[in-house]
Amino acid sequence: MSADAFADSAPIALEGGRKVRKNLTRSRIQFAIAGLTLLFLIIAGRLVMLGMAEAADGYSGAVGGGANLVRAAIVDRNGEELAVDISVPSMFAEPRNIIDVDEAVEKLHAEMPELSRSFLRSRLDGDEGFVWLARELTPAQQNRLFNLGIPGIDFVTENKRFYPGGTTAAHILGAVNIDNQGIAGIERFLDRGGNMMSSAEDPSDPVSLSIDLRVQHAMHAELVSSMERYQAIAAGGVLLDVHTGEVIAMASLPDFDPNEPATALEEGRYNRVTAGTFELGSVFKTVTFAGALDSGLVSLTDSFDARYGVRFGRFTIDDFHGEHRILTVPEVFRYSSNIGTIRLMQTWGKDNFRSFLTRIGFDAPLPIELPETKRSTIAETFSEVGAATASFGQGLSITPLHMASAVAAFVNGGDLLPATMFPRSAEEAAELAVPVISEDTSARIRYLLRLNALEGSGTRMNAAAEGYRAGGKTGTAEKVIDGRYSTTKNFNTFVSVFPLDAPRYALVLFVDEPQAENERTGRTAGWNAGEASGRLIARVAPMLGVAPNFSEALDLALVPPELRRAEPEAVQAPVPVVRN
Amino acid sequence: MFSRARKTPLAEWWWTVDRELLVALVLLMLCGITLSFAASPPVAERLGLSPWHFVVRHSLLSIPALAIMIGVSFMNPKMARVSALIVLIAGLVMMVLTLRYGIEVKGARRWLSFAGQSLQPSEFVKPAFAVIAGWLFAEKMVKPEMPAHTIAIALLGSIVTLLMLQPDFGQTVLVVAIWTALLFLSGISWVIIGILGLIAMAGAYAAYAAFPHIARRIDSFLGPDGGGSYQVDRALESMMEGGWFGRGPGEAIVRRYVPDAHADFVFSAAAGEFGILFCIVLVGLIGFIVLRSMLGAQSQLNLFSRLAVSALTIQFGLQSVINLSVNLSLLPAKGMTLPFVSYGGTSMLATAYAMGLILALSRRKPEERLTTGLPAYRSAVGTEAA
Repeated sequence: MSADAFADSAPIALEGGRKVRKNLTRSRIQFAIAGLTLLFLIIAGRLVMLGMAEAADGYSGAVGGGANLVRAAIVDRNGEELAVDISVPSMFAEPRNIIDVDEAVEKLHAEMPELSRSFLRSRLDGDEGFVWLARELTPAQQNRLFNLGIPGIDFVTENKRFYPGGTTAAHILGAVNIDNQGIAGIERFLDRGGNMMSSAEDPSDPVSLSIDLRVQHAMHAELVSSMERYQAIAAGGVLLDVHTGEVIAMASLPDFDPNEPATALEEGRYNRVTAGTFELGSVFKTVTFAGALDSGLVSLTDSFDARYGVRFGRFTIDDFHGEHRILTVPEVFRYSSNIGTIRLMQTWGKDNFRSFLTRIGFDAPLPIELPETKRSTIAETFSEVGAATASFGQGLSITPLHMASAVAAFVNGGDLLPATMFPRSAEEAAELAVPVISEDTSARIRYLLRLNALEGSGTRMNAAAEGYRAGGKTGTAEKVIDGRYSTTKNFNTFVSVFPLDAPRYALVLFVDEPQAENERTGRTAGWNAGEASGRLIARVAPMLGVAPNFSEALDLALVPPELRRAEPEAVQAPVPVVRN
Repeated sequence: MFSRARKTPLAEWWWTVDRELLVALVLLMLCGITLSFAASPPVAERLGLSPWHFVVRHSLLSIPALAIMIGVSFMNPKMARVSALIVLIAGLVMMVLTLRYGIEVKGARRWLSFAGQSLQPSEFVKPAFAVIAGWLFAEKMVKPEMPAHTIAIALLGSIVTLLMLQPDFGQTVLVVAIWTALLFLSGISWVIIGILGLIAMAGAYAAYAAFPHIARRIDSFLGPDGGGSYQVDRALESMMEGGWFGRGPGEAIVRRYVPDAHADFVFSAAAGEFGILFCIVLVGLIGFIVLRSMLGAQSQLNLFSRLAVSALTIQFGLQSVINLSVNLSLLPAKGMTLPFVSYGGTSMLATAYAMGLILALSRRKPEERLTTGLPAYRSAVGTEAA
């Protein structure tokens, strides 16, 4: 910038020039004053604005202390309370106001022996303005402590989360920490901004889940009794609405009491349904069958040679309950033939099989709102032997919820729906639906599931849930213990759907390392996971509005046209012989 | 002692100094001490110091600050000029040393450690530059043949260079603002003002493009959900917590979470305890100081005093406005202290020096004439400085 620009007035009349400049600076200072005044007025205006906003909102500084956070109540689909806030007193001290620390320590210790003397002394000594002593007391405790009359001891009312159902829906709800912030489950999801999912505009409105508390309770109770009955190390289950993807009930044992969040940290108490991946075993044949039938390369009228085991190098894969003859496709399913399933998968093609697993969402993370999820472990591409074992559910791990969603899609007409913990209408579901198999294939899977319940490994389930037209598939997977498949430790799963004439609910129930109840019973899935599923279906079907119907016509209607002439006796009266 | 019968230096000072301004400044310093009680204990505790660490240091520093302010206010314009020149040269030298020997804090080298005390030379350079630049502009207006503008621009250039090397964007803005204000006050045409405005906008954009930390701050300001505005959010929460009347001393909670509550965010941290009405009064006090000083500048006959006082006032005013705007989330977060209120030794002493200069240069000098630019009473009365 050139200096000449400013020396614009020629210095001819110096005196006059100065006068002009003198007045100029004066007027320029007035401009500056006006400008600065404006800035300060803006700031004052902003302060007034903040003051007004405060007056309008009645902001009470709740944000600073998390203890005052108000959480929306969580209710089930029928409005039953699952989690609510209750007001509880918490005791704090102002050490600088305590006159006699020794007296205060003695009195408090006498009233609340769980507060040790050394703890109290370390807290009360010093000149801090605020220390917590005990949080979340009962009103009676507060009253007694208050009456001790110790100066410098005071109480504030905090919100404490209370779960009336205790452990019933523990893994769904999760837990909050002492500051009422969600640390697990739906509580955590809601804190991470997931509130958008609920229809509640106002945070004081309750958040509604898709859970039905009655069904949830039945499932939880059934799993607790199964754990005991089969001396299992874990058990779990999930019930889905096949038309909407809503989770109606979900439980995993061992669980924890959300009212005591610390118990959730104990080993093995994670949510196995969403955060546990397992080799599910023969239930996976349902997936292989659905994909193979849908491809058109395999039909129900085909037969496969199951006389000899399938050799891969030095391994031979054989059947658990070997028929060792040529089996039709429905027979492969109901005898749960590994050989037949491998042959069927090979006819279909291992690459088609692998891409089908991706199509039904097994590679993707679970779309569920719960934060505790785990990714599946499936090889990128299958080797010959890898595809063979995968066809009957060994050598790849998925979560039980993945399986439940896939089965729901197989029976609902072929639409894969993301599972959800929040209520979803049929219209919303229709928009989210991804077709994975055809309606025709879906009808054939329904037939196979029902067939297996009537004549195959699902008869124990069917016996318990008579009249509810349930069908299902067992899976007795060998667990990998120290790098080898164990023959004594199994992970047993039962996948079922009811009522099969008009499917509404899909259930996946598993029992980890079950023992035989007595010498005359077995250890395979039909004996434990299957029977437990049957009992559960019989218990919850009436709640869900599924009425019993013993008409055989319903079962006969499930038989696909290509089998009606060929094998009319396929679905006749149940045979009491049990094959798992 | 203050009798007008005899012209003692003290009496002379007392009757010519702007007493209302002096009182307002002392009040502001007292406010600073009061606010430090509210804002700084949580910060001190977080840093593992005694809760009253900052309060004690702030209060103790107020004593030399007051002494400097009053001492400097005894100076006559010439002494003020000489002192400013000395401070400016010393400050520039120290800034050069800072680049080499400075302590790096949060990615910037602004502090010089000196006998166990840390010192931020740029704080002193600001008022000294305001005075010297004011003098250069005044000289230019009286004697157009002097290359005063060139010198001023060279000075500005070197200070800006040194500041950007640290880097210290906030101080740069202030120093450039001082120079721009002087240009404006010395009467450049509106056309040039318009051109400079465009250049300033281009400069701001260049800073946004060239310095990632500035870009980040502006981005986080424009998109409040984009994260990174933690300080500002907490500051606003703290402001709103108190409401009109505040929660009372020691009662506010959010202030515990306000970062830099003792320094840049002292205003909002204290708001929770003292309330928004108190904040408005505090803003009013700062506004009064600014307007009173500007009016004082306007009434000066001596061109140098007028420009220097205006420049110093604008520096003080702008710094306050920027700090308050950041606290109130009107501007993106920018490290700038609230003069006399924020904790910071160098800042407080430098502000005291600047305010002392304002008091000194805005003293009433009825005998002074514009033609000479020198006080006429020099020969008649003799020395008037202490």
